[in-house]
Amino acid sequence: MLSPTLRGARRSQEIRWALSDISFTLQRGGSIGVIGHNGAGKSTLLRLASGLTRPTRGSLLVTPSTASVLSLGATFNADLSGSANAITAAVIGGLTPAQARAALPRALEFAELDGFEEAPVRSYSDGMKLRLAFGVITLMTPELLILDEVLAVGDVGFQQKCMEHLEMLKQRGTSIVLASHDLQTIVEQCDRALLIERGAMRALGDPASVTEQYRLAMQTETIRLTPEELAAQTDRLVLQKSRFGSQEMQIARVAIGPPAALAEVPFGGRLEVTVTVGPNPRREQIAVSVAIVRATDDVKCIDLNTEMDGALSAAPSGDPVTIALRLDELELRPGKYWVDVGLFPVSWAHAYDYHWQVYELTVTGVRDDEGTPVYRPQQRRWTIDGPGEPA
Amino acid sequence: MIPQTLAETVPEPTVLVAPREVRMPPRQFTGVVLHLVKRELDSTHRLTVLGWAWPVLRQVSQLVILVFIFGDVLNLGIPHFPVYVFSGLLSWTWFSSGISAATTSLLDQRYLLFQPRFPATVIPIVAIAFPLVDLVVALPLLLVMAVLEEGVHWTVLLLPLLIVLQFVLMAGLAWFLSTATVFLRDVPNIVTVSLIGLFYMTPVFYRLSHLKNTTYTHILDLNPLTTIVEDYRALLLGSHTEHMPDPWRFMYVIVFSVVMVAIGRWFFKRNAALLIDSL
Repeated sequence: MLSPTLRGARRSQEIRWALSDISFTLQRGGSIGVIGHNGAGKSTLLRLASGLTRPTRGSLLVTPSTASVLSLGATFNADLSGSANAITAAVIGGLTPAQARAALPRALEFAELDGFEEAPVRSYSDGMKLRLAFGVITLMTPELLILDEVLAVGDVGFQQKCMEHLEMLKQRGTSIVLASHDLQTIVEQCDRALLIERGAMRALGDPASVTEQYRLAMQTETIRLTPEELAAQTDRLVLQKSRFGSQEMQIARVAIGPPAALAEVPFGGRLEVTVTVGPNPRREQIAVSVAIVRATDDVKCIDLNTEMDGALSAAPSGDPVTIALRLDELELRPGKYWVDVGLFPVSWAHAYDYHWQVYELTVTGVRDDEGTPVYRPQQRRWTIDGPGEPA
Repeated sequence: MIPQTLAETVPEPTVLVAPREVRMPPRQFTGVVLHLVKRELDSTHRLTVLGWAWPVLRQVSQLVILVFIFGDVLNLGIPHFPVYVFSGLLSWTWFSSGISAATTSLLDQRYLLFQPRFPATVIPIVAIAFPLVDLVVALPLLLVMAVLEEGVHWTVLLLPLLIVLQFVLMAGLAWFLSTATVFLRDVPNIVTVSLIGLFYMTPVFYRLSHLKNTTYTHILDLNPLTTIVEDYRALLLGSHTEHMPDPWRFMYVIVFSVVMVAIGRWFFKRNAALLIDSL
């Protein structure tokens, strides 16, 4: 009479370790970035670090005063106003109700809700919810702050503000654990980085080299999965040469430039990259990346993806989708560039389809050979068009 | 809970330090419970047209049904029947809605378990405190009914003590059942079935003296709610009721509740660190 799944679970003797052989210490005021594919064990590690769960084996020392944003937004009640939810979130975060009410204005000021403080959270965008959650976080000065991919949503200006707040906390002695797919943030924000792969510690150390190792591992996996042949090959896209990835899903078309242009953008001008993603029969969640690489020396000047900007969080319907990235002031030095476009599963374990050195971009203007800084354009916007686009 | 095979394959652990244990002063604990109950009320009544009238209407409609069936269709011959039923019904409704909400409270609000600074013990307590508001809101109506029928006895002032006792009893059950539910998802079903049975084993709409067989009376006396429900009436109506509060039965309920709360709290604390992995 027992349900089959339960009987199966009872019988199963196979053990799968979510995490094993991971060892690190975090000093007061230090910060560590945790990277790895989705499903590699990051969330488990963060839960352990919050003291929420116990390791089966091993030892763990957690400070008594921990604040986390593992899921602060999840505590929001959609029918109640932003300010009511902020008070509750602060109470859940460890303040007394009286303290929470007193501190409310500070949280709301940080969140910049522009007059929507009393509107039900149901009407908020993801970005507003995130800002509100982070506003509540700023009310606390914990010994350890754990952030899970929370900075992913929200505009660049707000991300900057959050970073400044984290910097201030660090100077006051708060240690920070930050899990993110945004490798750039990890490099900028953390003293060290920890790479987790299938529950094991792959690397621990300098953020720049650890993130590089992560990139390389993903590339290796992608190359391994790239098939030898494909029915419809074009001249520009040759497997194992300019096209990589498992090809389970494909990028159908890429257009560059302001519409109908010759992939030529003046310095400081507007650039649009439009990516059409082929059928998605399994309706999986996907991420699209756009990187701009200087042709002369392979320096990656811009590296953006939909996930870090929270642009494509839900799975679209099975039909093709068009994803457009618009950069308003392209401050790239005049010269030739490659626009590399990639399509990924949200696990980021490998690429479905990656077009490498296929699409050219010329930035025109007075030639100026100073080094191009790697930078993140402030004005950027993703738009997604397609049937059944999630609300 | 480590599977046997796992314990064999892995070397002995080093010392384990600091699993989560959120300590909160009782004052703050109470404040948090009240805040969350208030939030629950806000979100429940905000979007309904009748708002606060609903808890009263729900209980009155149930009263009308019981009074119709057992006062008219099958007349049990209990004087002042509406007041008799309503006093028992308020206590029962609090118990049954509180316990069923508490049973699934950890599952329903699992997101709260992921908050490192939040003491998880609060969650089942909020679940049982919320329907207490229904009782408090309906109490004035009961008092008015009692006054119109036959007058209220001064002992009604002792009612808060009885409410505290019932709260303690429910807290123990709530901690125990909510934890058990996380590990065995059949528990809510067991609770639902048990509550249906328990309703008929509690003298809400009948009298203990209706039972011809004294064995049944003794079985019903084991149910702490029997005494609690009868004592609500005794305090409200004083000498007008059949039974005066029996000190021995009352002592039994106190001991039962205190033991239950100790067991529930122990069970909850013991399993607190394992809850998240089973959610």
